[in-house]
Amino acid sequence: MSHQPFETWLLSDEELNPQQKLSLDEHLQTCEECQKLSNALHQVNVVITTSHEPTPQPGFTQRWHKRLLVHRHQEQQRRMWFITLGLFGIAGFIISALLILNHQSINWVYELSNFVANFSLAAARVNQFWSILQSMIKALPILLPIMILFGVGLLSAMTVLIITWFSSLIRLNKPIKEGVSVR
Amino acid sequence: MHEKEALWIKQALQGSDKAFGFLVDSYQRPVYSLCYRMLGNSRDAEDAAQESFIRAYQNLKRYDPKRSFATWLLSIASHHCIDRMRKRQLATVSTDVLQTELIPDRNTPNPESKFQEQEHEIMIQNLMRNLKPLDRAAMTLRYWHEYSEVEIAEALDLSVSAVKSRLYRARQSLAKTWMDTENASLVGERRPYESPAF
Repeated sequence: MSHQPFETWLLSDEELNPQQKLSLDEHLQTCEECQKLSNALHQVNVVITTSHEPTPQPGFTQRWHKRLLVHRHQEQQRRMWFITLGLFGIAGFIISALLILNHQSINWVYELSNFVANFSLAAARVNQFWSILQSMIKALPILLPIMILFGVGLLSAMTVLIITWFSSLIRLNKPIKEGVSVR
Repeated sequence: MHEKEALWIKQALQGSDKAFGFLVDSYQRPVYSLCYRMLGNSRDAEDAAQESFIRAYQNLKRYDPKRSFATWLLSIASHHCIDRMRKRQLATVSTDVLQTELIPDRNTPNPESKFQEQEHEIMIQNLMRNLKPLDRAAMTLRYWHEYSEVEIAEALDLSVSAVKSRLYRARQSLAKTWMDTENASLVGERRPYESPAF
């Protein structure tokens, strides 16, 4: 026996017209297989519609806020790792490129010791610069009044010099009066 | 869209965790319910729902205010649950998890009704165990969230005809599982949802 289109009508969500409904009812009275399918679908529908709505445990939002903080911390750590690995990768690439460029005359021990020495020197210089900067910052309260005094003195002296220079220029450019003989 | 909801979204877009917290508070039930129906146990449902909200917050800039916020959220939750099911092969629910959830708490006011509720839950999970993740998502949205086929298509990034065919196949599978359970009970096995007293 053919179960079409009745099986499709039973399984689809489409609304049937009165003619189709009648036709389906007639078929269900004679076809045991479609009757079983119809009953099963009805039972499944009952089970679904009578189920309770699952609800989360109280405090869901608070737990979400905590989880968000953890998530952000993890993201930050991941980003730091990414940056660190990226920098190491770039450094590795540069070193490899340099090694490849100099591969013929390369002396591994010499290059390595040279690199370590240069790195140590650079680190020492940075450290030295930082010490000087720190000393200057520490000495700033003592040096500041002296520097201000020196600055004010220098400014005053320069002002006097500029005024003298301008007045000299004005005097020299003055026109000579008529009737005055020049010796 | 609700005025308050629009305001919370706007504030959340400016980085307010508190504002998004209000959205979490408003939508925790539908999102959790969807995750529960998809994954079959409260532990995974809680984890998936929390993760879905975090993803939603991270991708809030992509949200189109013309669309329903609930549909957008459920779409994120559905895709997340589908991924989890595929990764962990959770198409069939772990019986251990269900058994631990089945033991009623002695302090529960009505342990018998709680027990029946849990047995009913097992029956649903048994029915849905053979469904593929995407079919399960479509069924959940259709029957528990009463979404139309168009809304399901929007939430699951499918065409309407694909949704129709998935729902058709899912119903076929559910009916088959039901009939198989019936046949098994006829040959002497007790139905999993029935009390031994009956």
